[in-house]
Amino acid sequence: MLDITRHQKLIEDISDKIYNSNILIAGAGGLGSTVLENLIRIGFRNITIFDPKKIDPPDLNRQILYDQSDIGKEKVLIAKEKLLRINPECNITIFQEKFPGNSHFNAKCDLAFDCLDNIESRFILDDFCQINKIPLIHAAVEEYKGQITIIYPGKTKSLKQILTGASTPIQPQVLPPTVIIAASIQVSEALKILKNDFENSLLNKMLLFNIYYNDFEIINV
Amino acid sequence: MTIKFSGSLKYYISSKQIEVEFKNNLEDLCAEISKKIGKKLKCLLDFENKKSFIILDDNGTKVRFSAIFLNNGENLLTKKSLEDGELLIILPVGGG
Repeated sequence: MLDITRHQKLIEDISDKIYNSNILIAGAGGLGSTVLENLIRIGFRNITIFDPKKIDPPDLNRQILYDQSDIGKEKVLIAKEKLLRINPECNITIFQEKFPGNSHFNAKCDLAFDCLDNIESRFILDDFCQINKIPLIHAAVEEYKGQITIIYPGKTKSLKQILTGASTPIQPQVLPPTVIIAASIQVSEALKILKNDFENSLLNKMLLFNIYYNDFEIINV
Repeated sequence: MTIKFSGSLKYYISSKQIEVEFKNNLEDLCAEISKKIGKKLKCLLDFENKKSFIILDDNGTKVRFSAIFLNNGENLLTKKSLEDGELLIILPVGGG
């Protein structure tokens, strides 16, 4: 059993939600790796992961769940294996396909994480979350820059309403700390959503950061 | 009209926010912004492909960025016309 005594008091008001929530992770790459590891170490137990890709050598700079011995293997399989080593009691369902793929995913889901790498897939996930009224924690990264916002159906705009116009960068440079910071903030935002603390969360706000300039800016969206 | 520059755009413009005279078309508004920032700025809205960009011309060096335009909170690509008030220009990132 995972020992969470070093942060248990910080989450005791939502411990039932953490144990019982069903979490959807779209993308087990850079953002997804850190999000997944954080969620498992916090104590989340029920997680569904979508990712169609295999692990390539350039992934290892920022995809912290994987190592040299995993090259060429399916991300979702390795992610599940490594996460179960941290907490063998968690239930991890994997789909080796793009979200929502051909699986007609319709399992109950309480929170979703956008850990994808292109705008078209992000909008598909956004549509799914809008239809099923699932809060979506969005993040994206490039170079030293990151952005995070929460899309909450009925309380905020959709991701599509905010980000229509954005293009997908082709293999952008990404500094590993940028990814780890953005993904870690995604997870801390998820905890605020479970606490129903909408005032302190990135609801109707977007955090944009640039670690080169130590610039953290919150804008209303 | 208030023009806000967010994300890394503010480093290129060297300003977070400026005030300009409102113009009801984007080309004229960009001319007003360009006068104020001392650099040529063009806004491109591709309604067909749902993409938007800015082109910055800094002493002959043109740089094109993917950009999001929120006019009083509404995305310009889904809005009928430009309104006075606030135009927030964001350079989004997209990797994962």
